[in-house]
Amino acid sequence: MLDAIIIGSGPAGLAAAIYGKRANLNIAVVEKEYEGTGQIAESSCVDNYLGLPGINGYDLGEQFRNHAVDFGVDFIEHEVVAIEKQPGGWKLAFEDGSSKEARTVIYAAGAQPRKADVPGEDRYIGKGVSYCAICDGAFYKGKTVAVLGGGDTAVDEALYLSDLCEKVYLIHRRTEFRGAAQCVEQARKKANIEFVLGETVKEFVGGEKLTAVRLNSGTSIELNGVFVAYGSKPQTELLRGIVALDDSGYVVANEDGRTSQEGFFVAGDVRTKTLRQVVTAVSDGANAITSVAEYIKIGAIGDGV
Amino acid sequence: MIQELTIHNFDVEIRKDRPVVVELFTTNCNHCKKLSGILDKLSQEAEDTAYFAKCNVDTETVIQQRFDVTAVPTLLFIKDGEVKNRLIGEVHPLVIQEEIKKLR
Repeated sequence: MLDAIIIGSGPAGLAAAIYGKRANLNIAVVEKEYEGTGQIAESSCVDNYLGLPGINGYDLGEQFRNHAVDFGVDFIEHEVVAIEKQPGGWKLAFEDGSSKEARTVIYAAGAQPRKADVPGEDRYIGKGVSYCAICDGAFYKGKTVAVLGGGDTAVDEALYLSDLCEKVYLIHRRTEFRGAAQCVEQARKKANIEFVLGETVKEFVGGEKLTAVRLNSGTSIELNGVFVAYGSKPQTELLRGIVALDDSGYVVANEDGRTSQEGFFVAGDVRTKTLRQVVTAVSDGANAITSVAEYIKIGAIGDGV
Repeated sequence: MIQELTIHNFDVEIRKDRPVVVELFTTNCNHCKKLSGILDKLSQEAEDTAYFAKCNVDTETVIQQRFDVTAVPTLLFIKDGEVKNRLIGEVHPLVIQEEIKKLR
């Protein structure tokens, strides 16, 4: 049986794996993506990771992964569909019917971008609906677009697009912004960014391509493209009823990664904490596997082994 | 590394006697980088059975307009010079292999 199975191959999971290998623990990483590196791969520029200023998020993720591969970490490409507590450990069931057992689990599945979840969204993906301004922004040069959301990502995307597009609507359901005040100020100074506050998009409309969005108030905005930037949500649906979650769905745990269940640890963006960044994810991974090593050692003494 | 196509060789290169897969990408797109890596691997494994290429639609705007690309990466699956299917986003290698089978 494995000492620990790590769910997720983002910075938290990979850091846990590297520390685990160095501690001679018998571990494996389960990932649902093909050769995943987590959400960091979507970031165009990471400017606050110590020692690597301005590195591209994809490149940073690849470096993390290569590091783990060099240490001989085993990767299992499967989606976990169920987690079950068993005497002496945990059992993970995968989407293809197979399963794997381990004495402990480190859950580091991270967060996933939120979709708009309104009619017309799927139909217009690639035909006006996009989730990445850096990737697709240039296709809307000189056109009218909207950014949906009010977090840091939404404001950043609106600023980025305002240099390319003729007009950018920033549609946000609240009337105030929680993100960095400096960026919001910068956006307010842009003549071609129009703030549409206290509104949400109810429907994406158009013919072959997206031509407008209908808002909750009943009004419509004609446009060529929409960038959905509603932030992300923790991937913890599987854990309901297994470990304690907070109201937003994050796993309740301190820095040591210990959850409400013995032998079940958590690391990275899925944990309750104030700062969700690469640096805190990496630190979580290291802490969680250290807790695992301690747990196994104490368990071994207790078992009389 | 798979071949990068431009407007000057695009139409010639996509006419092969085997299935052709072309990734339309942009420079800033990290999802595209990942997909290019996947295509590199697939091309090494299946060099004789399929042809893989990519095209930067940041610079190749004629290609971008021709295929009406507004999201990247866009994968084109081509047979006899004709686009039979297109997929958007980071596509899993198994899905790419399945699509190639359909072209045979």
